[in-house]
Amino acid sequence: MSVRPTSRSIFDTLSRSSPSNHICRQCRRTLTPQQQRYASSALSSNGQSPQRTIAQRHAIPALFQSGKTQRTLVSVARRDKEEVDDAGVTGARTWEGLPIIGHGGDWKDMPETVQDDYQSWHGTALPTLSHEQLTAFLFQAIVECHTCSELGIAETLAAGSHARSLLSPDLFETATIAISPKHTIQGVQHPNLDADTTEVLQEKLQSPVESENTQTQAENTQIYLPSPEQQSFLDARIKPNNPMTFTILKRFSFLIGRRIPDPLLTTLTQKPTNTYRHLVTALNEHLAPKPANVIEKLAMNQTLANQSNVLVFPRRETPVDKEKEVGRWKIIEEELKKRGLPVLGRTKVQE
Amino acid sequence: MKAVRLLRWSGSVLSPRTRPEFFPIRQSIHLIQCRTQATAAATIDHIEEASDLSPSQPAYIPEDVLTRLPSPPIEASRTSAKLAALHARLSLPSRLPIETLARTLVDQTADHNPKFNNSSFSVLGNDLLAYYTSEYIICQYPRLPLAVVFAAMYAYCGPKALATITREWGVQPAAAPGGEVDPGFLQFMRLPPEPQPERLGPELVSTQSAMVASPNNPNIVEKRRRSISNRTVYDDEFGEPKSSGIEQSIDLSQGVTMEKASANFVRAVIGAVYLHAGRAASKQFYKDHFMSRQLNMASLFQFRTPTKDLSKLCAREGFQPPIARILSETGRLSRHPVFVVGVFSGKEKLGEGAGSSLDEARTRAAVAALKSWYLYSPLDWKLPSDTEEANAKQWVPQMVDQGDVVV
Repeated sequence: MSVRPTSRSIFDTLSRSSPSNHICRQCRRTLTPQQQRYASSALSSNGQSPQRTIAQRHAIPALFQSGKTQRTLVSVARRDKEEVDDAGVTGARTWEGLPIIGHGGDWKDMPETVQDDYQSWHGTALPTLSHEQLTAFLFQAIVECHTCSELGIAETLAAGSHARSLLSPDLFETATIAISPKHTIQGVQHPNLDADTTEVLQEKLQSPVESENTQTQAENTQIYLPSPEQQSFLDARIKPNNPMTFTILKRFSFLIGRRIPDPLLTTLTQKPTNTYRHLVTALNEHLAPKPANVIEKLAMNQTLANQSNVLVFPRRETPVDKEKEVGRWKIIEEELKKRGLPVLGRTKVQE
Repeated sequence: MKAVRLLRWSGSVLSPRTRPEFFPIRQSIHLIQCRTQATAAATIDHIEEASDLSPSQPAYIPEDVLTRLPSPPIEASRTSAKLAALHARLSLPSRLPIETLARTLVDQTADHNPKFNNSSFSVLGNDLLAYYTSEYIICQYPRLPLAVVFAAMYAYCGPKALATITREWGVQPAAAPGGEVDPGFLQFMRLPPEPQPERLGPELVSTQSAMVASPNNPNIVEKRRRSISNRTVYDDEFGEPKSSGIEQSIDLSQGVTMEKASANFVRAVIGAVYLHAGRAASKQFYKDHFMSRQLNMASLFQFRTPTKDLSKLCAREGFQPPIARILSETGRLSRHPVFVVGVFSGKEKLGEGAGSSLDEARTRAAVAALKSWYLYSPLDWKLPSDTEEANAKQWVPQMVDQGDVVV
């Protein structure tokens, strides 16, 4: 979605400075915004290109450094004339006959602003997360949620949106997720949990949320990868009616920096035997980068890839390709060349 | 029966194939077209060097090099969809590699190098085809005249039949052979178009019998009629004179008809199946694709003097001389009379025929009697090749008649 307006006040642009540099179309030199404005206005006001030297063309007039309105410009121009009076030249009293300084009012003459930068509404491409990373984040979310629940601050955690780890890495190493005989998560056992950890946890939860929520933990810090014994929680079933499940999924969503789609959750919770392994697998498939074109889409199709009688071409098959496939093209080419005719395209008809 | 060691066989036939003449030796190994077979026994240095390359990533060969090759490189066969579809469509055994199937599609007019064309396969396949077909025909119809046997052989595995089979298999010909051609196409050099005569005159037809002197047959004299026995001994499986090597070399330089190329392809497939998958697989392949074709044997007969033939036959076999008797008639005095005549040998009725005259009905009855004699088929018959397997039943000799009646 473009944010460039079709009409804009001239003076807004003049009174604002832009950090971007521009290239002079005539001499290909880098211009400051003031120079760029001056050059464009000089061209547009006269209707023809003024014959000036490069130094004149790129000189920064003092009037532009003030960043005033057009009225100010005219007055400044008048003051210039008065200064010339010292050399015996009569200064101008009215604006008639004076060259108009500034741009001609066309939007394309204005330098770009911050708002002009294209911002895609559907977000930039986030880095992909592997199955192991998703498992690690889910482990982290479960440990944190159950720890906070034991400390009585689960609601604070559910209300917050911290994207960084709340516990130290040694706590994750010693944590064990207990699974009940009914294949549900019973709790988390922390041998090293002490009072200091509780205080640190509460401080972190009460601290304001970082503004860069989109910068997930995966991009900034190293994740603790759970050991194979600790990964046994993946076989625990998802209990949709348990409030802790909601807390875990929300925490998990903040940790990975992506929303878990509702249709995916609905599908997973419809079957009571679905486990967290299903969640990770489904999310991994959902977060896989989408193919950019048809060839990538078809190349990802394993059913097609396993069939030896299917070929996927990266481009359209042309008649020349078909002739080459049966070996006729070399004969056509030879015969055309023998007759002095172009192999592809047309010759220019000589009049 | 001692089994033939297939590996040794195929090692000599399918030796590692290299084509160094198209690439300078200084070029890297990936440009050298090195083709190996799965069953190749011999090893050369090229193979060891080529084995360093990953087989999953075929080397890229530029198009100008490809067009200079007479036939597609071996790497192309692994990515050909047409070839894979043909392999699956024919239900070929998995032991037959796709590279060999690609080689069976290259005629010797397209690629003169015998390591790259199907000539060696087609020689073997032709012999197998002739062997399987002839034993099938003779065991099923032991009293067939030799002329009919030749005709049946031609109908089952003659060039026209093999060309039809090629078409039914869905094999399409390439317009011109070359390295850039998809390996799934049948590749052969086509015959040049015949020059058009400037003035169309009356076509001259030779009135003399077209007898060709065969170098393999020293007894044959030109313009002499060849007998069936002569054909059996000296001619090919269809009773036609064998072409000499000089003629074959001339044919190869000029090109070949599509019918001949198709026939060579089918023969080569059978030879390749035999080499790679063994005797049982080739026999099954033959049953599936050749014996499943229906041939009306009775339509192959043509009698000049059926009544005389029948008399001679009865005399030879010691039957009573045949007598034609009217079985029924209708409308003798009308415009369309119908007579039904039976030919009897004593009290046994040999045949029956209906005709608009007594002579016609008698002739038809004699023809029916002769066909019923010649087309005798034993109820339980067994092929000699079936006994070649390890746990097959013992061979019981079958009756084969002494032949047709020579009038």
